[in-house]
Amino acid sequence: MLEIKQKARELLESGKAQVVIGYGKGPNNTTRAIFVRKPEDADKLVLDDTCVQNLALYIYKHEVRHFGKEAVVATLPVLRSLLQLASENQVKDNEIIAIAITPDNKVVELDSFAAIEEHVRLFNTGLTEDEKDLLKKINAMGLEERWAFWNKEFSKCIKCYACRQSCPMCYCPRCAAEVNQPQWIPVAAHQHGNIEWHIMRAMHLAGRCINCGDCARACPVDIPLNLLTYNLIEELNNEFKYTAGLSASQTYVLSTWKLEDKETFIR
Amino acid sequence: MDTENKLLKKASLQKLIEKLNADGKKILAPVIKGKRVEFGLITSSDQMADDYIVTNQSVKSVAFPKFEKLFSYEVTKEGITQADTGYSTFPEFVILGARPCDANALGSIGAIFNWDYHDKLYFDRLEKTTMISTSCSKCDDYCFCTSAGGHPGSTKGSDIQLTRLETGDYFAEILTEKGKKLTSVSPDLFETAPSVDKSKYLAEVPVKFKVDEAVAKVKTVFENELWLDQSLRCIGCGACAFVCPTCACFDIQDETKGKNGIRLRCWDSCGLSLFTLHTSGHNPREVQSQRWRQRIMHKFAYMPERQNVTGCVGCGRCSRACPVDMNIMEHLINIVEVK
Amino acid sequence: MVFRHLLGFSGVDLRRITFSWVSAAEGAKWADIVNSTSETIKKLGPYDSYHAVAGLKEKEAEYVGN
Repeated sequence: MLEIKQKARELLESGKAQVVIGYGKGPNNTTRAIFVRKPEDADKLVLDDTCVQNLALYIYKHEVRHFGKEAVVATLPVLRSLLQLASENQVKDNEIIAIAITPDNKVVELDSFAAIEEHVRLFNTGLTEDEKDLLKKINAMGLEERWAFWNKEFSKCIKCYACRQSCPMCYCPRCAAEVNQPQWIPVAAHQHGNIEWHIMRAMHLAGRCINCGDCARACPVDIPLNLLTYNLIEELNNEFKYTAGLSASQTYVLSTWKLEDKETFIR
Repeated sequence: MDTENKLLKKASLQKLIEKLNADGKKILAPVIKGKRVEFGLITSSDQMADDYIVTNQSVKSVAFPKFEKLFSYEVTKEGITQADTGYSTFPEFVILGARPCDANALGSIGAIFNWDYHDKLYFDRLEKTTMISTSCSKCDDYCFCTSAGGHPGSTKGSDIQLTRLETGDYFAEILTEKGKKLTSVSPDLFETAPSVDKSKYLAEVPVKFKVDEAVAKVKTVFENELWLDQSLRCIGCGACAFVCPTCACFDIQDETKGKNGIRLRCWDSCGLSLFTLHTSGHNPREVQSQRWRQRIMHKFAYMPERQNVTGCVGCGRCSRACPVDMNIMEHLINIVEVK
Repeated sequence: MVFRHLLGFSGVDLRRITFSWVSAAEGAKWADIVNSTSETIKKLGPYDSYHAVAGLKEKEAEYVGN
């Protein structure tokens, strides 16, 4: 933790970065994102198990970008988000400094996509066994049961869009849910609107979700939204041997075609 | 009406619930749903959550649901026929166990819905709702009702208020004619009350700032960098507004199927970027700091000015629900402290 | 394939959904697919569980708690 503070201070003092996006503490001992702009404020940074929010979504927030060169305290999901955003041309190489932690707890400064890619390779990026077990539970359900399960979950939705807003991959200035000529997705939070919204949201994250879990954490009514994305991650891995957020130059899996792609679904 | 004090024994509460249910009233009470406590229909007192500060979502849905039909229409050869949704179709609700802040908040929404237009749907639904609140014996770090003009035993907006005594019985204050009418379904359940010092049973919610001070200060800080500082981590979702017991903004949508359609209204939030987007593409609240300012200004400047009420009751729900820890109490303290 | 899988995971009845690739020159294949798809769906009958949420009437649902 001390090293993170030192690194942030150093970056701000030297002018290599004008803002360090990191984690700090709120009044009720909560953990929250903070935006350090003065070297003396670097002491406010913390890094512990409660630092789970994916900070990558702040790098393109208008007001944050306005401060100048950004550095970000980068957990694995943040790094993978940066690579995924890079592959979608949302960030440029050398534009962001990532302050990352190696598996043996050393603080490193990663200022290029190549360095981030190399760093990410040190970690396991697959689904955990627990995550796979949750998937198995849903897959083991019969059709009616599965429909009832999701209906019950989706009925809680209040369409606050916290899932979308917390997701670094949801950067569209106008979401498909808000396109109203025609209105593809009903706006009201009735069951029909909720089902269509969540299926659409998940589909738009297919091959792009890096499994940070922020959608589910952000949900004020506890809909297990990450189950939908686990399912897509697993499916893309099984069918295309594809994992999002591992390289800045990978092309989007659903818009590229390879000879070895399976075509089992076409009859 | 003068308040009548009664005693409602623990066992009598169950009888009251049965009686009301038998009368065809729907009873909404806090129930445990997973990790959350939310309002749900109950038929027995055992279903009620026992240990909670406030429900995750507010009680406003009873009169201002997340979506509701305004009217239905049909396109025929002769033209368009329209059928209003109406009073007679609304169910009669009894809310049991809302907190004083919630009961108070329905009045704030009412002030908006009765400002330049009398919102018949809201008031018709409210008319059919009887509010039995329970005073708070506990609070948490997010509660600040005492800084927002309320207190843990405030009876404003309640028809009946229950305060739980050490015996498990309830001290019942019958506050309105509507409350009295409800007790009349089974008057023998409401017994003569012993003399009770209610304040002994109430939580102590520390005063963080004076509401008048906040109202006065907020008007002077429109152009201040604190809005930017506070809202940097805000991600612009609507969670705060949708759990808020006083947020009343809505959107209107048509949904059609063939020649039939319905017009709905559904919740909307000033925190969402499209809220103020014009057809031209211009957005008067272009960035999140402006939207955050609007949220606070609306509650603490515009509503006191126009409706003579504050748009915040200090329940702290928005701060608990916020995925990025925007803490309204902390931010209001910042505002009050501006030199 | 991914979308189909997602629908299945969300509890949608996949017997009612057909994905195919038909060239403009394959009229007979097109007819076959449409015929067999509609036949399957006719056999399954109305999709009640979907209509139970997607009708206009259902969008007037009464509030029963959060």
